Amino acid sequence: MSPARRRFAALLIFLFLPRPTWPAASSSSASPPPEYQVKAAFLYNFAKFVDWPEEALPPAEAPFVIGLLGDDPFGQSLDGLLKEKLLKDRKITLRRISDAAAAKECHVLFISASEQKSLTPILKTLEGQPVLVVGDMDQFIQRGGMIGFTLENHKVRFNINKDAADAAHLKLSSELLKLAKTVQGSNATGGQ
Amino acid sequence: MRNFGRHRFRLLATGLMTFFWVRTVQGAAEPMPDLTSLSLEDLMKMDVTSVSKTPENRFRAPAAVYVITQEDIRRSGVTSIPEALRLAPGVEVARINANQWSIGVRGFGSRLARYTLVLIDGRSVYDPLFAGTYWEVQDTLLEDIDRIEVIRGPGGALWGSNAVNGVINIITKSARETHGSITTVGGGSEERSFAGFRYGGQRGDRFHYRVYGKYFDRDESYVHVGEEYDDWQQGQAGFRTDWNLGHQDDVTIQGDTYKGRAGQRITSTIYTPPYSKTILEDSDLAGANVLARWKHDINPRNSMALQFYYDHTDRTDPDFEEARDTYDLDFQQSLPLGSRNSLTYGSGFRVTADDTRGTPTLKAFTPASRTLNLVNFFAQDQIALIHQILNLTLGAKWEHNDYTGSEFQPNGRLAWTPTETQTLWGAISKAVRTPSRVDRNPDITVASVPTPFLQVGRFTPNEKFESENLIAYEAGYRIQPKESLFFGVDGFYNDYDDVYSLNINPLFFESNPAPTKLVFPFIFENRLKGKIYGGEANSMLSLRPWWRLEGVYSFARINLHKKDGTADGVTEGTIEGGTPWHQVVLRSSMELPHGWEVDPTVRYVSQLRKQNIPAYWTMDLHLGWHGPRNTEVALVGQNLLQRRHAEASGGNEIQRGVYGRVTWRYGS
Repeated sequence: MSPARRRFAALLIFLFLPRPTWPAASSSSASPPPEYQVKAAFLYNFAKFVDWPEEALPPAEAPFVIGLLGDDPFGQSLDGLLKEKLLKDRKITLRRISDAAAAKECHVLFISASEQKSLTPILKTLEGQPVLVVGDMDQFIQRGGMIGFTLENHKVRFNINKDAADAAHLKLSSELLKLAKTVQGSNATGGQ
Repeated sequence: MRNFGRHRFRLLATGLMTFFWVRTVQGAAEPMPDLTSLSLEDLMKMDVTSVSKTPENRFRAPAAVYVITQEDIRRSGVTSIPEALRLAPGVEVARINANQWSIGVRGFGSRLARYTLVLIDGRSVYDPLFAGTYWEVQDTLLEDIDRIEVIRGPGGALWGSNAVNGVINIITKSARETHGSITTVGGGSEERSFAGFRYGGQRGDRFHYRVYGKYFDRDESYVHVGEEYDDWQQGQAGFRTDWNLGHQDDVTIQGDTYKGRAGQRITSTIYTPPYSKTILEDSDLAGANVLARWKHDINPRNSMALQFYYDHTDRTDPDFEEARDTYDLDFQQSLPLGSRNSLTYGSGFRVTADDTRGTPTLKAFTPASRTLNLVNFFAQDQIALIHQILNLTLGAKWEHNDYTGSEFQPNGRLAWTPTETQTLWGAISKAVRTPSRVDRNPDITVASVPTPFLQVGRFTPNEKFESENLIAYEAGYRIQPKESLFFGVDGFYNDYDDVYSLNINPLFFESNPAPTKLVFPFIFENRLKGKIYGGEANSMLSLRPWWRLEGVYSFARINLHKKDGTADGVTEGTIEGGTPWHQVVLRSSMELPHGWEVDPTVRYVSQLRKQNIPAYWTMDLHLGWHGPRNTEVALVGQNLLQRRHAEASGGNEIQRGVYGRVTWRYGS
């Protein structure tokens, strides 16, 4: 089995099997936060490690837009988390959107697993647009997404498709690439 | 009808798809401190808990829906589908003996739950001979169940006839979600031994499969008089494949087969002295089914599905045999109409053929074999009166069956979601239970009095038995102010007419077959009417991310009365007295350090007056431990608060039981 496929299987298993909770060796608390709160924090953090082309960044007073396409797995946690936060020195606006055309105006776009079937046309619409496309559905980066979440041992991990990010003129910092579980792309560096 | 020797009931089925509507609300955990202040490295070290991926839409559902999740099943320690149903509000589960349950939704509990429609992955398991569901043969590997949706209230407009008081959708996971293997083995006092295995994987990126097998051996229940008889052994095997043909088409093919033996005690009437005999023998239970579903997405909001299934059941009781073949074809499409309307429509066709075999006294059915056809069309439009805030759903199903011809079951539902955290809904619906063979053409001799000359009671045909009707009025409110807190309450008023009743035709002497006897020919009629009203409340509180409490309270009052022209003095009281007025379920689920889980469930059921069943409290306790290498060990105590207790009439008592279970999971 290829590593990608193994990860795919691991993702499925971790997402869907009943979930034993292991006290984290590294965290002092025995009460893990819900998966999507942590993913929300990741979304926020990703933006810090990505450089957008100048023309993609709005005038200073305009907000930094994080979009959410499809069924919302975050609930209110995302709103709470991003309240009063700044990204690239801008206020953050959260948009829950239902069609890909609106996604062009986002800086970061999370595509929900509910859009599994329509991922290909969505990505087509976004082609060449400087939108950081993040998701957690199966085969997300293989199908052209930029950052795909996976779960490993109850911890959130991510894989990066560097080619897709390059095509969108987004510069991912080397730190981000280093932390990724795998980096897919022609001149990929980093990974573990 | 409890006089049948077995308590069995009737009805004809339809049913369809499980896609629409909803799922209930599930707890998550309370908000954490500011996670954005953490670095990516720190975030990556953090353990997370996972909740269902599609949480929002069922919150807006204009119906009383409760979802029993896979986690609920595992953490409650239940070992069968009927036992799992105890967790849901508005469901009355009474275990008659080790291998039979009486189940009702919002009243009308009976051995076969004749007013409730049960579907497994879109396959109706309603038996149109005795009307209802043989709970003991509805099984699968519990670990592969994704969820059980319990819809209280009529579902006739979508699922068709017999979804009168409720609909239960048992939905298994896609084969995509069941890669790897699970092995469970265990045993104990009442659950004498059991084992299960599943293996799943994929071929290429798009073809996913699993196969499973299971077996159990269950102990008898307690009987005061005579020998214990109802032990039960059953095995089941099955498969499921999910095949993604490009981004628009998905094909699911699945099937199961089972075989079992369940001990029975049956009292039959015979025409020779002593005119009645009690036999302790096994029922042989066997069946198989295969289902194929093709789903085609024209675009994300416009999809259609075509489904076919074949189901075979063969049930051999000590004095009666039923073999049945059912073929069912359903089509359905969902599409948006303009910006406000979302239309779902569909059609279905079913043929079901049975072959029955009885004894000279229990001929059971005249004719012995019969084929029934069922055709249906339905349409449902969901109208966004105010986008995301006010939704009106109008729908109806038209059906044609061989007994009563056309049946029309409309409903209207309104949901108001003023804020994202609360929903208020109301509904008016019509539902029918169509006649089944036991209502129309039974030939069952059930009782005898040998002196001064032989007299027998017999259920005889009545071709005038019609559908039973319900108009239901429901309303509900649910609120989830934060992820860690949920509260829902709903009320219903069910107005029934033409409810089944008994009557007696003029007595006659019969000399063939010998001996000569006086026959009391009973018939089923529709001469009861009345109402049930009640409500349910359920709440969930996550005190800590690792500690969750859930409480459910259900209330129902039945009031039936006779219409003119019936001598029936029994049925009214039997139905009324067979529904508990009050039920409570309290659950605590706690995850402790080092992989421990402690999950007690306490439940209360108030008395069943007519059946002389006193109220009872009891408790189940699941202790789980997650060890290394994906090993899970569980110790489960069931019905812990007393040595034994009765839940239904019939003389059997359910005993306290303890079992242990080990589960190994391997990823692929």
